[in-house]
Amino acid sequence: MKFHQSICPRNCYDTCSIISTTHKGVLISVEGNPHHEYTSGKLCPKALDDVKKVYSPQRIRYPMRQRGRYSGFWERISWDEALTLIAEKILSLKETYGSSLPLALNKYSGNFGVLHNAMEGLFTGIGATTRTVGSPCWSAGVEAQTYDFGTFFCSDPLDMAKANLIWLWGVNPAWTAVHQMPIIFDAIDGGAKVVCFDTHFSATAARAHRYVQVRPGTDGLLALGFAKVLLEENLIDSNLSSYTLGHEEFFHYLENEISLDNCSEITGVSISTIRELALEYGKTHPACIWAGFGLQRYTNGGQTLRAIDALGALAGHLGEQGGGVQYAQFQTWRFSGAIQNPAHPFNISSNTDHPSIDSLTQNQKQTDRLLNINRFSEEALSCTDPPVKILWISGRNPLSQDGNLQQWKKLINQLDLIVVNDLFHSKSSEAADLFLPITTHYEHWDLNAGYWHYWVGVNEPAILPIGESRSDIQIAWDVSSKLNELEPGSCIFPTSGDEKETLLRELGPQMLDILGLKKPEEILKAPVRANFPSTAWENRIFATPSGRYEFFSSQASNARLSPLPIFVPPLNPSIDAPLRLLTPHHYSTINSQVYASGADNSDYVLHLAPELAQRHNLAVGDRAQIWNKSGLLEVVIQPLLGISADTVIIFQEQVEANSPLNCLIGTPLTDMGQLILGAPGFALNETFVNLRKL
Amino acid sequence: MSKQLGFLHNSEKCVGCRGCEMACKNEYQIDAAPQWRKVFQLHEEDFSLPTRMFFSMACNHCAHPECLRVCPVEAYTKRDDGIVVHDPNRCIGCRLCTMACPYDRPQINSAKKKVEKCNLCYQRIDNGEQPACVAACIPGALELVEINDILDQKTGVLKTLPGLPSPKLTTPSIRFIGPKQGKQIRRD
Repeated sequence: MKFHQSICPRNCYDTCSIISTTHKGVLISVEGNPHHEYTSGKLCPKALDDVKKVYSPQRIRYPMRQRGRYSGFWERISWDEALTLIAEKILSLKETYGSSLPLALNKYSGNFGVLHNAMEGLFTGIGATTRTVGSPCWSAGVEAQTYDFGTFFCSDPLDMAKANLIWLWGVNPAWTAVHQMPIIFDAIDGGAKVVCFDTHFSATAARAHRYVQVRPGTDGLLALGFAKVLLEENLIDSNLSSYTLGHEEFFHYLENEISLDNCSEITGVSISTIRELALEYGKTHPACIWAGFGLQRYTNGGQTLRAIDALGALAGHLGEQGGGVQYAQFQTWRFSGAIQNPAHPFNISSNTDHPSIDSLTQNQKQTDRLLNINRFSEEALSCTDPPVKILWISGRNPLSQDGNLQQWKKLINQLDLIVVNDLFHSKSSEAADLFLPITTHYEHWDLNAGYWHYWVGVNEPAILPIGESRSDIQIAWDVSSKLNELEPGSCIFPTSGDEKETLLRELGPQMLDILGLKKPEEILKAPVRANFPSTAWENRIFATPSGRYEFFSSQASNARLSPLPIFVPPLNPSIDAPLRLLTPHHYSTINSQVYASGADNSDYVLHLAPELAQRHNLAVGDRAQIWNKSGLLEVVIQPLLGISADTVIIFQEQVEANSPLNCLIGTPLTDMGQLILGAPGFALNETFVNLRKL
Repeated sequence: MSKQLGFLHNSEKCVGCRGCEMACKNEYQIDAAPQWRKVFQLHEEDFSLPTRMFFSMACNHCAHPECLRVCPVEAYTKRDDGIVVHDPNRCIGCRLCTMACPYDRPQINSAKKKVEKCNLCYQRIDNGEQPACVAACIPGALELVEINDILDQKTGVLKTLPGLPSPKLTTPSIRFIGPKQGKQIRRD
C-alpha cells in the first residue's frame, strides 16, 4: 500500500488535505490528513465518495464527438483527431476574421487547482481572445470588504474558537463548511453563545442558541439597526478615531436615516430583539461575525456586507482575537501567474505581484474581449465584430448554473464549435460538439490554496490517468503543439512540459515569503500554513488608502457608490411572481457537482411554509408548478416550518429532470464587484416565481 | 461476553452531513444501494419547534440480536466484545434477518444476493483503531463506547429517540444525547 498527498480542489471553504491510499496502482481509500489542523483527519461525504467517482462507469474516458448537438450520439475519437479538429477550427477562424477574438473561454472553479489556469495560458498564447471576467460567487462582498479594510482578509478560522459570541450571518457551515462546526462547538463548550441569522431555519441554525429569521435581502438594514442601538446606548469603541475614517459621517447617517421602527418593519425582526441582540453584541468581547456568501447575492449585496463590517467596527470587534467580521480571503493565492501568462516577446511585463481572481494582466485586459461571467450569453451574443464562434467550457457547467438560458440557446446556435472538458457529461456537454476527458486530482499534479483557512499545498498524482483522460495543462500543451504543428508560431503557450516543475514555478518570491519557505521544493513535503497572524487586522492598520478602517470610502465614491454603507432595498416581488425563490447549496452537492452515490431524484423539491402550502391547497407530495417570465419548473411540495410565507426554497440537489432549475433564473447583478473583479456579481437570490397546483 | 461495545450518538452535534455514511462506503467500497450506516432526520412533528435534527444508525450490535436468532444458517455470531458479525460466506440471502431487525440495518445487496451489514469495523478495533464512521465524524457526534450502567446513569444519555422502535425488542447497543432546542425568532 502506498500513501499520497491529495488536496480536494472543489470550490469550498474547507479545501481539505487528503491522504489517498493506493494498492498496486489502484486508488482504494481517501482519508483526511490528520496533520492538517483544519481538515483534522476528516473528510466530508463529497470527498469520501471520490474513489467511486474516479472509477465511475459514467466517467468519460476517451475524447468524444457528438453527432448533432443534444442528440446524445457520441462517438469515440482519437486525441489526435480531437486536437486537429480544434486547432484547424481556430486557425481557420483566425484567417476568416483576422483575429482570434471569435475564440471564447468560459472557465471558473470546477477545479480550483492552479495548474488549471493553463486554459487561460493557452488562450493568451493564441492571441487576444474573448474571456470572462468577474465571479458568479462572491464579487459584491469582496468589493465591499475592499472598500472597508483595503482588501478582503479573514482571520484563521481556528480563531473563532476564542469568541464569546458568534454571529453566523447567512451562512450554513453544517452543510457548506462542515469543518468549522467542531470549532464552533468548541467555542460553545467554552461558554460562547451562538446566534444564527438566516432566511430559513438551517441545520446550523438548529444548533445555535438563538435563530433569527431575517427577511431576505434586508440584512444590511438589520446591521444598521444594530449599529444605531450601539450608538444610542454608547457602546461604541472609544478608540474609533484612532483607526477609522468617517465615523462621524456614519453616526450622522444612523441618527438621521435609520429608524428602528422602519428597520423592524422591513427586516421582520422586532425592535426588542434588535435592541437585545445589539446590546449583547456591543457588550460581549470577543464577538465574531461570519458573513456568508448568500448574503451578498442580492442587488444590494455589497451594501449589506459594508453595513455588517461597519457594525463590527463600531463595536470595536475588528482586530480582536476571536472577533472580527469574517468573509473570506485571497491572500494565500499570490501565485506567480507564470502559467496563464506565457512569456511573449511583446508581453513580457506580467504583473505578478497583484493577485486577481481571473489572473489577467493589465496587458491582456487591453486586448482580450472581456465579458461578465454572469451575463456571458447575452454579452457574447452582442459581440459582432467579430462574433464569438468557438466556445471552450472548462471547469464550469453554465447550462446548469447560469441565468438566462434562452440567450444561451441563441448563443449555441451561432457557435461553430463547442468544446467541453470535464469528468462526466453535464447539461453543458449536451450542447457540445467535442468532449475532452480530464483527469481527477488523483491523476495529476496540482497546487491548491484555501480561501478561508491559510493553508497551501501540493496535490500529487496517486494513480495513472483513467482511460485516455488528460490533465487540463496537458490538454493546453497538446492544443498548442497541434497549433504550432499546423502553423508554426501560432501559439506561444508551451507545447510540452512537466506538471511538477510547472507548479513549483508558481511559487515565486512573494509566495515563498508568505509560506516561510526558502525553496519551492519544500512544499512537496506537506501542506504549509501561510505565516499570517491568526487574527485579521490585529494591529488595526488597514490596507485602505487612508490606512484606516473606512466607514467613509472615497474609493466607493469614485465607483459612483455611496461613500458610506447605506441601506438600499432589494428587488420586490411582483404580482406576476410574488414569491422569492432561494436555491441554497445542499450538503450533497457543490452547485452541479454531485457525488455519484447521491440519491437520484427525479423531481425538484419545493420547500415552503405550511401556511403558504395551505393557501394553495397543497399537501406534502403534491405536484405543482413554479414559473416566471424566464421559465417553468415542475416541483414536488414539501411544507417545512422555518421558512417564511413570502419565500420558497429549492436546495441544489442532484435531480434528473428535463428542465433545469436555472431555467427560472435571470441575470440580476449585484451592486458591487466591478472595481475589484472587473464585473458585478450574480444577484441570484433576487429570483421570483409564481406557484400553482397541478 | 466480557463487554458490550456500541455507539453513542449526539444529535446536538450531528449536523446531518452524511460523512459517516460515506466513510463506511470509502472503507469497504460498497455499492451505493446497501447502506450499512444511514443518517436519518428526526421527524419534525415529534418536537414542539422545527428541529433539523438527525441521528446516524448502523447495526446496533444488540444485546439480544434478532438477526442472529432467526438466521437459519448461523451466518451471525456475537463476539466477546458484543460485536455482531455477519459472515457473507454462510449467508444464503434468505432475508429473514432483514425482516426481523426492527432497525432495518441488515441490507440486501441485490447484485450479490446476500445480506450485508456493519460489523463495527472489528478488524480496525482489533488493531486499536476507531471504526471508520467514528474516525470520520467531523463534528465529533459519533463515539464508540462501552454500553454499561455507568454510561446509562449519566445525565442526558437516552436509550431511544422519538420515532424509534422500542429498545425492549432487541436491547440495542446504541445511546443518544438528545437534541437541545435554541430560541427561535421566526417570521413564519
